[in-house]
Amino acid sequence: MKSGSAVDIDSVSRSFGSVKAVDGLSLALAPGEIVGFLGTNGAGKTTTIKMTLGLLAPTSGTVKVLGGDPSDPRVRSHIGYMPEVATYYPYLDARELLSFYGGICGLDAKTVRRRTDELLDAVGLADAAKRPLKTYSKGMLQRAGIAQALLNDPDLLVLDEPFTGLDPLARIHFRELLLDLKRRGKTVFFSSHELGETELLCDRVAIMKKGHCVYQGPVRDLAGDGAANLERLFLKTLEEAK
Amino acid sequence: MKLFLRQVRSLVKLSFLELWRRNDVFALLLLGLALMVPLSMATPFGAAGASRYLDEMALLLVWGFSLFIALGAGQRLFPPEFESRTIYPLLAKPISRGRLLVGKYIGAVAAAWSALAFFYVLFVASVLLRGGAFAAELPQAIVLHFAFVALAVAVSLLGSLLVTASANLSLSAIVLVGMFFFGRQLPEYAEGLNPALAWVVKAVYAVAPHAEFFDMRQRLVHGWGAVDGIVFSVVLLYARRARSPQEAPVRLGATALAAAAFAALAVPSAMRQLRGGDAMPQVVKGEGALAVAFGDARGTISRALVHKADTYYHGGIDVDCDHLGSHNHDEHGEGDHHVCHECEHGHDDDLDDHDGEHEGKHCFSDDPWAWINEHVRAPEIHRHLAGAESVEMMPWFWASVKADPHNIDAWTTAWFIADSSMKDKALALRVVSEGLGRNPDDPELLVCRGRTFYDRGRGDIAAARKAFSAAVEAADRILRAGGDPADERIIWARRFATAYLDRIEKKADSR
Repeated sequence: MKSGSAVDIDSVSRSFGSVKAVDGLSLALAPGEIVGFLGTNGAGKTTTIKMTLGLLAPTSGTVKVLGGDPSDPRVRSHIGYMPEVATYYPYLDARELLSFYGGICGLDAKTVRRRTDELLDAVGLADAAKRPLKTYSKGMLQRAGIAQALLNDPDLLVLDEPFTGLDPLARIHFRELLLDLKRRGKTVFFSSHELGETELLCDRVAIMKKGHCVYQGPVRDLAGDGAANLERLFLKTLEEAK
Repeated sequence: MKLFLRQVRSLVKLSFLELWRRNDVFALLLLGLALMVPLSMATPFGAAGASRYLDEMALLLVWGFSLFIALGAGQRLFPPEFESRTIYPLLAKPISRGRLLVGKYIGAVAAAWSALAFFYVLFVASVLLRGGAFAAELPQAIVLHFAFVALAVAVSLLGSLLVTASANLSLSAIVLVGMFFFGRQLPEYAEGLNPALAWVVKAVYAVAPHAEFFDMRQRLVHGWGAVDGIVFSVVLLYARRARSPQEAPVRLGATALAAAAFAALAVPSAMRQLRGGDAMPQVVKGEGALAVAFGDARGTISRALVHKADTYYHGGIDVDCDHLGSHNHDEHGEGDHHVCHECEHGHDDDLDDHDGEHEGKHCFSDDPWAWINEHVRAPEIHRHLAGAESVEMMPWFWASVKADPHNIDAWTTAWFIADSSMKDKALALRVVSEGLGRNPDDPELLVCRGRTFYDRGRGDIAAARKAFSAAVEAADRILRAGGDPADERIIWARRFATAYLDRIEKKADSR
């Protein structure tokens, strides 16, 4: 394990029966870094994210998060996670949703109220805070998901397809939010198919194909290397890995 | 600990808000009101004062609703989390899976309890509004019902983790309702089966959740008094053990065995019904909506309702139900009168109470489940309804003749109770008149009318003579029209009417 890594994935494999979803992946994230996790559907991104959160155990290899085992709830108290698409509890409103997750995180009522006000404002749901979640659009649910992931002020933020369903303005706000987290020393690890957003946000990218990591490296180096943009790099990398 | 309490509080709040915002409780409340309001306004045969049937129906609804709520609450704990993918952000929070399971369970139980408390508040209010009162058994009954709800949530939660949502609801309901109604009879069923199947049924009896232990409805309705403190504690202890997660695999096995046993019991019976063409429900032309809905099943329902009235007569004890070890027909003395029609024809004794202490058949070490049932579901004292109190039976007779207006047993037994037990001649004549309205010239009913008019020689003798004569003529008419000459009912009615006519003639001659 590399000392001081926010996330250290070391030679990790994970199989589901005879299918190897992740095969010998090694990846390290430094604190304060934003790392994009790219790949086609079924490449092993979500499986890797679930292992990072302690939701799945690796078949072999080790995953360390913030220096500990992610299956330990104490380690997870410093992690925020937003799933790809979640239909949050339809009978709650956004304020009640955050209050619920705040209680699960063990936050006291006063802190939950303060963080709820801050986050609803930050994700642009303050005006819809009293509406039942069943009346929310996909984009609004995505914003509620972002708010719940940030509720405990995590040191590591893990996001699965965070830009899905967000309108252009919301994307800009969300991008600013993530960059602000980076400025505060937080680590962000997200999977995405939105290559443009990834290029704008990330310090580094890792590209997965059929369970293998076929590329990892800094985005700026690549962009300055003459590659027109991340999309070209992505296609080229996948082509070469055939 | 502080963290755990905060997590549990959040999970309780989540279950609570979901339950009450889904409006299930209010929908059930409306259903309950739609059933109970017309029932409470009914005056069967014009006889007012019956209230136990209302208590019984209300408690049945409260139990049914609580089961529905509990199974739903348990069922909704995890499958919707997977469907909506909220399980992942939840598991990514600082909560262990064990704590999440326990917290979710506590939340669902608390939510279901809140609904149950709501229904009991309404039940108590309805009883108080009718001028009723509660005895010492009410707190015990409520506590045991709450324990049952916790058990039902556990069964549903366990099922939700193992099978699909719809299968879980059906399976949980079958297991709990099946055990509720038939659990205590399983050892009896086992006796008539081949050794392998008997072993399965006995295994189910041993490990399946005994929902019936928690049912104190009959105690409440018939005022049997509180359950002994030791028995009460044993039942609560059972509920606690039954909810233990360590026993989950055993419970699962029991659930599967229960399903297999019920299938084994039900399928041959159903096949027999299907093969016997004559046994299939048939619709008689011009019999109205009930006939269309129930066919020949009306007769079965009607007879079951007469049996229910008989149970009321025995103060809530099902005298045909021997497995409680508390009572059976053999314990009746010669002078007792059963509501059962067979006995009525045989003798016409007064309705004397035959109070007596029940002697339990089972001891705890032999069969703890039977021991619990014996103490929870049977009274210490067997009392019969008598006098004006007998009006409590009337709603069941009324329901019986509504189900099948041609159930002469129901009419004549209702008449007997009104005439001999309640000493209400007007009510007795009203019952007979209604019965004759649906069964014109029925010899038995005409005999009943004659007996009420005759009133041991002190009543309207002319009217009695007319009724007895009509009974004889009706019986002869039936026989002439090809009726079965061995039909005991016709023979009995004719013999009775003739004997009374002879008595009337002799009295007239002696004057």
